[in-house]
Amino acid sequence: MVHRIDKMSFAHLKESDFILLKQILSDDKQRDRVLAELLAYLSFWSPDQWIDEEHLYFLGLDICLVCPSNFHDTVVDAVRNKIFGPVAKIFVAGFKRPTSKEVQVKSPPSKTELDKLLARLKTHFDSVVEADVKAIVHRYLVCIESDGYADDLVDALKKIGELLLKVQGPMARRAAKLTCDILQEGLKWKSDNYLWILWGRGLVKMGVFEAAELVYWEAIRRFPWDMYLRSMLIEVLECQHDKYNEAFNLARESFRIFPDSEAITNQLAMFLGQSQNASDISEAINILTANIKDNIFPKIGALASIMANAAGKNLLGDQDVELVVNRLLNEGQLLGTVSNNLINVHKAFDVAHWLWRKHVVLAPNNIFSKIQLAKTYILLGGKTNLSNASEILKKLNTVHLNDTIIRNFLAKVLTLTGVPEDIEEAKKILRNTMKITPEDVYAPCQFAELLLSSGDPSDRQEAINLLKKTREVNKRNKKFKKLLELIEKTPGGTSISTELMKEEPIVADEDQDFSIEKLDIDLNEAVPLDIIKLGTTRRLRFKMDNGSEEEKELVLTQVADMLNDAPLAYTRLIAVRYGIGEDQDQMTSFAFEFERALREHDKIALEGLSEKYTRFTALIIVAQAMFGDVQSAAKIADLMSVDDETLHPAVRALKRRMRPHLVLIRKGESPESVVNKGKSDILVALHDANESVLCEFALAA
Amino acid sequence: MDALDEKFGILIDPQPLPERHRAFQTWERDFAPNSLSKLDNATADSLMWAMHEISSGWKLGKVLIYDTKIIWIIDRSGNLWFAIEELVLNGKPTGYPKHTKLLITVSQSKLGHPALINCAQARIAGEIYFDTNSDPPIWKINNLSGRYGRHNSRTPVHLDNVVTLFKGYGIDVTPHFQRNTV
Repeated sequence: MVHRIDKMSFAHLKESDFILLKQILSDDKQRDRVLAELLAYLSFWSPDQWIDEEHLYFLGLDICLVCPSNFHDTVVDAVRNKIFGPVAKIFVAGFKRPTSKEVQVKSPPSKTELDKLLARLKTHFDSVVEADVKAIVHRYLVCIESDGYADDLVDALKKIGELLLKVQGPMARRAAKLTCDILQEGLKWKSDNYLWILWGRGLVKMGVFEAAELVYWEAIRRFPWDMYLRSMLIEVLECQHDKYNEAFNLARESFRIFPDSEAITNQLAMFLGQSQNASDISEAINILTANIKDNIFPKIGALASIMANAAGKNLLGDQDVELVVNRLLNEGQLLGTVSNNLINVHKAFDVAHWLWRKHVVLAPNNIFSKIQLAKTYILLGGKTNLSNASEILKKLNTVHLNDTIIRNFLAKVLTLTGVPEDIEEAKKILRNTMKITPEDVYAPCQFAELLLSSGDPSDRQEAINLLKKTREVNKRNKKFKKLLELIEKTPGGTSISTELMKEEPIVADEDQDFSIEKLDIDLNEAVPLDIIKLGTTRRLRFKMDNGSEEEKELVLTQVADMLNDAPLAYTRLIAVRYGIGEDQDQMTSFAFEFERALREHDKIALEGLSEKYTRFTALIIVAQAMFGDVQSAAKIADLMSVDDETLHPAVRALKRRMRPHLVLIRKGESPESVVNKGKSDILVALHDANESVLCEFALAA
Repeated sequence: MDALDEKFGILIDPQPLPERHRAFQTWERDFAPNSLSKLDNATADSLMWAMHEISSGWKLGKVLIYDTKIIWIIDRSGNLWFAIEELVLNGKPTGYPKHTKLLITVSQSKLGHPALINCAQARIAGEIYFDTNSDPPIWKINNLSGRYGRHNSRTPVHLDNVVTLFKGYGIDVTPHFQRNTV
């Protein structure tokens, strides 16, 4: 066979073709003929045809490699002038690729370099640091272009982004803008859920709440298993005052999906706690205390706040207080933490008192709760309350003679009555306590205070001597030392014992993110158009799932409108779900066919899909089980036990969302009944998983 | 960098062309070729037999393979997947081979390399073809995959290691590593 180059040779150049091409192109007389063949080949692509960009780009690149440099311009000019624009453009892009001198595989910034930058970012942020951040990110990007390995950049972006978002003051917004810019660069390479979280936080810090909201809506579509993203979205909605109801509904939906999420539980409880309806208050307290023993500390603030507010509006019921006490019945210390929060943060002495009164009734042998009850009587003040406190403590003191806490409290109550006999008795008790437990700080302080209150200079001196003596025993107690210095400087006396009794209030961390003033930044400048479209579509879906009938009608109209304006695949998928627009029924990929099968409850179509798309078998089997197929229901547990690594991301997403149902199956409940009971949740999980299939690898941002 | 990274190149997502956002077509994400096979003892025997018969002058086989490509790819775990490059018409796979030089199909789409592994991350990839212009004609293997094989991180050693992998199953192919630069 004679080996020659004709126009169709360019469709698939083999090694022997390259050798021959190189020979011909180096010959001035023959090269024009080859160029003509090449142009003839390229002219096959016309405006109405699909263009194989990959093939044309590498064809350009390969011909460039065998083409003498003095012929390059001729080739480029000929192709640009004679070939259909987009075809010429992609061919020339390959043909003009940089030569080896320009292409150098570089190594990414070292760990030391990154650490140095992070250390600087920790201390300050200015235009110099800003330029250095941009430079280091650029270097990562150059390396990714050459090796495709994006993990280093993603890790660096997480660290840099975290620090940039902590910048306060006049540069805060600029740092936030930089965060958003560099994160988008990273997201082009790897769609990491934490980068999405940081991006949303950056937008919030810039004051573009709507943009942050849309970013989070899109992020929860991509990562339907990420409860933290949902929690962030709830916060962003909440801080836009006109979206309070949407935030509330999202918190409700999210709690249904992620009942174990501390953050979402707290958020929903706080929404319920703001209601004017007593049943909502009860529900808030119920969900907060359901598993309170597992992790009480994040919930304390919310619980105390809800109880204090509700009590202020007469919405707190006895059954609510009883529920809290019952759930912490044998956890006196934990109940004490709730009580301290009520006392120190909310000054809700009455609610704390209510808690302990209930606890004493339900656990009558608990000494700790009786002491706490007496303490709340003292805080409430007034003769009767002091008398009640005194009565409780006296009773306890007769049984537990050497208990320092009881004795000190009793002395305190007796002092507060102001009755001379009681004060003398208090002094007697305190003297005894100091003898029995010399290391105790409270008794000498209180005794010193009693001495100081008499106004007698010799009593004042005795008080100082007493405190000095006590200081010898408690050298390490800095607070005590400070108070002693204070009393020496301030004649007339300070209520030292009260100062000592005071506990540090629990103050929630101030979230700087949401205290930013809303700035006038155009949404279109803040995020790419595709993100706006995707986020808007996900938000519409949420309204369709959770909104009123009127809202649902409106959603259908909005989706129909979006279909007329270059719709993205996701919008079209939603349209298929709601049966809008026939065009969408022409879409043939898995997501669309599966959506149609779900909509039509089409078991036969599902059967067909399982043969065609083996990687999505799990989705199909769960759908079949939901439509009543007993055999499929039985397979669910096995399907979901496969290692995450080997699963398609959509199946992985479904697996995480099916976890609560799988737990029930593993506990022995029949798969059929589990699927039947959780049908509506499973349908939402299937929709979420199917939606996450779309744009899996496409440009992230 | 683990052993597989060194042997067959690092894992990369399907690469978009410069200034292009999409690295694959939707049909490549949603469909796999009908001829998709994993290289193992059974599939290697059939492939070796066909290749041997064609290079020995089996005319029917030569016609069948003359204008079609076999594409291959190394996945995350080091498995080699291969398939005929199949034709896509109007966004739907046909299950027929795509004739690369036939005028009526030349500008039609195909199920390319990403379709072999559901658009996942992969290592080196390329084509197997019968080079009838060589004397004598021989089976060759190249790294011609814009999405996975022509990446700057790919080296001739990676392709040589694929040749060795084939050799382990008794299949002889000659490597042709196509560089991106002079």
